[in-house]
Amino acid sequence: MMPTRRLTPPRTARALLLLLAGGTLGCAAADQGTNLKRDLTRRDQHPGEWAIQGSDYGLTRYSALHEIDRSNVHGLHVAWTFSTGQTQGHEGTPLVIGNTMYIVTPFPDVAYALDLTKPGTVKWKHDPHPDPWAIGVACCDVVNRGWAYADGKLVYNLLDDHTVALDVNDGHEIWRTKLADVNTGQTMTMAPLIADGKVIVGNSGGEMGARGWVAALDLETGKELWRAYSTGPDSDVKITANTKPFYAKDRGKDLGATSWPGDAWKHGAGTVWGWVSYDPELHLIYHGTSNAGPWNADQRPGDNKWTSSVFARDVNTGEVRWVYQFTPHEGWDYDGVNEDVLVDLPIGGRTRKALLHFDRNGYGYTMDRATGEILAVNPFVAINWSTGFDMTTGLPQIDPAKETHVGITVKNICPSTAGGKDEEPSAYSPRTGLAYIPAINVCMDYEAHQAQYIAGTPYMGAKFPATSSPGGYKGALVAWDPKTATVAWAVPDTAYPVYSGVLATAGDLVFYGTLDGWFRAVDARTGEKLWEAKLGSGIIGGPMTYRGPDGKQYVAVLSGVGGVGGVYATVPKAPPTGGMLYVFSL
Amino acid sequence: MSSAFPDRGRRRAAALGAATVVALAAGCKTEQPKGAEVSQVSQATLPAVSFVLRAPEGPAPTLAVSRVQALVQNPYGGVMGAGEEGRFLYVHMNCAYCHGFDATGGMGPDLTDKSWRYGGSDVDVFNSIYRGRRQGMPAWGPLLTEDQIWKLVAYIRTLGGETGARYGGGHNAASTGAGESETRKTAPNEDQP
Repeated sequence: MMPTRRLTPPRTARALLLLLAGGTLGCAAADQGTNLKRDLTRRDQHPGEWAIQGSDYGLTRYSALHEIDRSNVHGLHVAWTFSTGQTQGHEGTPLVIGNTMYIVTPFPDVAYALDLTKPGTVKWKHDPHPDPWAIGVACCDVVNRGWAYADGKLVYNLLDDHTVALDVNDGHEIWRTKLADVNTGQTMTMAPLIADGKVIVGNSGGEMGARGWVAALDLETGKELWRAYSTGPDSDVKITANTKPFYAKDRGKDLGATSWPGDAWKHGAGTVWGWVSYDPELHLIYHGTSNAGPWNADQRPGDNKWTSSVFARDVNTGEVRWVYQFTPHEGWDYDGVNEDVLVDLPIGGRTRKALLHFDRNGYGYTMDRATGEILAVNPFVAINWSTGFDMTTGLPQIDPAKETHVGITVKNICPSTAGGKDEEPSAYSPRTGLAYIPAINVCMDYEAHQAQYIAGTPYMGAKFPATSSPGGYKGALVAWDPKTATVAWAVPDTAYPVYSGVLATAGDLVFYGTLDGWFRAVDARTGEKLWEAKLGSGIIGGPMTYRGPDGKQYVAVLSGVGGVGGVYATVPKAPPTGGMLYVFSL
Repeated sequence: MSSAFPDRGRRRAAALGAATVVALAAGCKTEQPKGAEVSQVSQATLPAVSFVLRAPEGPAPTLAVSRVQALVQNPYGGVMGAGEEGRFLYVHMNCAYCHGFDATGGMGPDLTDKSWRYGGSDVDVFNSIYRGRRQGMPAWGPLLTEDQIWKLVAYIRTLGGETGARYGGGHNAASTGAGESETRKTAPNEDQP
């Protein structure tokens, strides 16, 4: 365990702050008088707020607000904007609790509280000054993928492997916990999830020879309560006698160590840099694990468990209830970290507690989240690494011609290392029964090399130039029926992959953004484009919606291209970087 | 860096202006400025701050350090085969995975353009490799011999990046997705790892 510092601002500083606030204190304190406690399991109690990155614990990114709908969305216009002052990739989603909006910038991970009664006005700002050494250790831009709220605290990760909790009243740090050491190639970019009084966090560094882990911190103190690794013996992974993987392929003792040569699992990645969802009834959290390390798969014969996998863990202890590996012996950078969306679906004549997962490997999975059984699975983009799926064994059938090896260049593998979809999150509308997937339709060549582990440097061993895009489009917003795992319709983008998060609303609208800066609303039932606005930079963040203090519905999104999506936006006519929050209303 | 740390960026801009002025003033005073003399330039000789902040960009300030740079040359400069050996090290010590197999950047900066965050002379590049730099460039001094580092410098010299420039124009590094903004470090102690 790593040490935790409990922080309180010096008394003089607080006194000064109060003095400066002076006469305006009465106004600024508007939220302080209200109860800042929220039962995050009850999304219906505060439909006008947005308190979890994914809207709710199931990460549906759905809002019940419907003032803005298909009939009037054409009248949407900019209400206000806010510059973040940063030029790196902006991947997160603004939160709104009470009359305050919270955003966090990419490195240096500055948090802002914005007063919605005076749009765009800074209530407070907190600069945590993370170690700039982390910049050079972050594989895929210095992004922050999201921040979390509970009980009057704003909690988020710093790139330099700390988690901080701020008091939402004034932004002061309540605690700061060190989780890892940047010199080992680890960073932290994922969005924490606060469940049952615990802050669930995980590491990045799957390209740096890091070993993946997920940890739970006490919300009140920042103290580490448990930590589970993605590789290694069962005791480290927290696999016990109570762990019941659905498929035989995932059963066995110490597979996290024995499915690797020697102690290669110690640098085998399986980092936890994506999303965490939570089922309060089952008391389980769900999270994926990254690609295996190094990218050169010849250096790690075996299944390489538990990389490219999904875990269901007891939120109290971290104990694994079930685990399923999406891509055994992953050799294409097909991380399994994409969001696990928790919805209840009518399948086979009864309601199933389902988990939807749109993997980098191009398959869209509908699973039983209590057991890990796959209920339906099909590709949602063009794939050729796998030629089919065995529902009995839970194994994808792999085309041997697309397996990557040292000394050969394997041509035209679909999808590319970015996946059929990257971590940018999908949305699900209970009104349409459709999931809306931001998809990437790009293939690659792959040339593996011998990789050498040097702490703090990339542990990769591959070149992977992008090649074709089957069908002539680079990305699409894919509407997906999870009951049957089939594509309902798609809105293709010929110029760029779709690399933003998605929002679905009760106005039967789906919002998403493009890498060249178009923010769009389409009809949730047909995909027809109903409205769009050109923003200053490409969009890789997640849109959200809220009800303002004036009772009106607003839609907000961070513009600011970067991240892995930014690689695709380096073509000559793509807009430049630059972070800006845009808020729209009728 | 100005984008990453707005406040610090402004301070650095001020430091840059001051350093430039000190250098220019020293240059007027004597043909071979010495550190001690430089430090004795009186405040009265400095132009107004508003003018300082708009000091023209140009060649590096010619402080004592550049005389050292002129004296130290890459023993493998122009040596046949040194660049190839450097390329081998570049790939096998994982440099390629940060700076790109074509060295045009990625997690780390482009090594083929005119922009050098920490100086582009042979000595600057040697030091960047040997000591590391504070935005994540590891210090390779403990792992590589000085001979090997000079071969890496020789390889980097074959990439076409402008040599000798302490800072230059260059392109927007952030467009590579590397997430590091264009940085010009000039104040004497700014480039410490």
